Amino acid sequence: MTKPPFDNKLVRQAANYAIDKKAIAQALFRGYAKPAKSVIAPNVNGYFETEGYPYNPTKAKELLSEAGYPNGFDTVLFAAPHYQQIAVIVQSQLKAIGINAEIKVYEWASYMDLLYSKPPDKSEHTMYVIGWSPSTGDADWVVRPLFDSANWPPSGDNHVGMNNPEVDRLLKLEMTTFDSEKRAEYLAELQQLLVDEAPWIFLYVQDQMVGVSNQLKDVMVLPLGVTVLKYAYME
Amino acid sequence: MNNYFIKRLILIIPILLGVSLLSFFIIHLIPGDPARVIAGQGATSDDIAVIREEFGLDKPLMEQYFAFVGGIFSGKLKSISSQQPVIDEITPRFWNTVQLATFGIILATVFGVLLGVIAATHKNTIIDNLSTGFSLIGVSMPIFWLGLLLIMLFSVALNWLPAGGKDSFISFILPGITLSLPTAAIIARMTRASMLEIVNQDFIRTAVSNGIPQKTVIYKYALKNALIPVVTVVGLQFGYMLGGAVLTESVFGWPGLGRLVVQSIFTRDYPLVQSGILLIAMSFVFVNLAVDLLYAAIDPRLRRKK
Repeated sequence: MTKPPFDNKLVRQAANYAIDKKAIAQALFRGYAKPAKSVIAPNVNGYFETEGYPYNPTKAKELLSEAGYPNGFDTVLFAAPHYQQIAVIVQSQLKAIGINAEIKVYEWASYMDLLYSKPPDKSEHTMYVIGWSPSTGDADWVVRPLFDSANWPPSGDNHVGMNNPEVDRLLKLEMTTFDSEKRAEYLAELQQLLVDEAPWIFLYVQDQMVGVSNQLKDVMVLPLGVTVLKYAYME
Repeated sequence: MNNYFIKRLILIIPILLGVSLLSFFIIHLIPGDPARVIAGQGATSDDIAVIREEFGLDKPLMEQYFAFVGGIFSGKLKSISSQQPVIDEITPRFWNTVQLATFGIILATVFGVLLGVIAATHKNTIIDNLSTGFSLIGVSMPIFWLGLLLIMLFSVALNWLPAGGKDSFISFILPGITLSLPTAAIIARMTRASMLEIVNQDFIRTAVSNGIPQKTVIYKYALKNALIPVVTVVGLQFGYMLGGAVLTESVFGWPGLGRLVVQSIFTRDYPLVQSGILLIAMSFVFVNLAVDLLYAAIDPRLRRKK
């Protein structure tokens, strides 16, 4: 969000309204994914459900005009190989509102270089596809690494370039509050703010899927995406 | 003659040196940081620095090169992804590739030579045309596609053969056929052309006019001589199979060296990539040398001093 036209909140929100997230979840995951309604997933501690951005291409075009781009604009959409399908769908839906995104696919190691080696305002990436999962299962390990202004690459994961004092303030509060109710309030406020700011097009939350033979018992699948076979046995 | 081969053996040293330098520097030229790839998203700069130090990635390039060359056999050189000594990772995978390549080359040679001989002895008949057609298809067909087709037919539809992995002898069948087909096509063409050339030569005419039965002429006299250039092709193809079975290995999930090297490139596992390339190059060099030796052994004309 450091580079125009994405430094304009209206443009980012327009991009969100332009994407049919339900359709993506259905098309790519046959229903084993749900549209994202916040910056974190429903099972993560501290989740607060917002309205999100339902599919509304008309509103998207309105917002785009209001932002000063009635005829849309050209941009580049970066992706890693396993995100390519998403990129193609997003590209076609953005095109419908006038945003022409050229897709550039980088293999993973080069992709990480692209996102992490320079601070976001100096690096090459504009719009890009990425995923995240908190290894702590708590909201903090989503919002802080990804949105704290102190965590700009190369030292952190804020490759989207978020630099918002209000966000930083709420992050500090949620990190230092022990009272779980108060903390939940801060996190709720933070999520509403983040969704409104729309640093991302919020796509989907994926279900964990692991194929297990009928004869293999006691396989543990952790929400983290780790499959534990330590206790598994064949019948 | 011996001098020639001693010279060839000595030449191997600079060749290996060159390959090791080349494989080392090429992988370092492409963008991407192995420490960051292993650390993954969500790592701090400290995490990455620790990984870098552990694998000597912060040292000057030449020092890293010597660590690479010195560490391969001593076991000191470790894979960045698995942290096991590189030699332990590569050796079993290489052995798997050798097994598959050996099976493939045997299939290809037997089938290819047979087809080539039949085509040559039935020149300009339907059989010949079919054989030519087969050769064309075999060389043009993408291995990837052929492998997938075979899986679809024999594993999915008929459930006769496994779709991948290396569990027993049956696992060799589909990947072996896939790997051997393009080579069989080449060998068939080569054999046919070579046979046709031989069959027109004087000594064949002499043999026939002496009353020797045609079958004997073909299989005892003509084929033996026709196979000489074919031996070269077989050797070269075997070398290629050792290094290039990547596509077949990928389609069938074969635990071979080619697939390991490709996967390691994606994770920027420098030690694995460098060692893998070096090993493949080494085998190619030795296979070539063996082919030349064989060639000299079976063709007495080469042994004659000029």
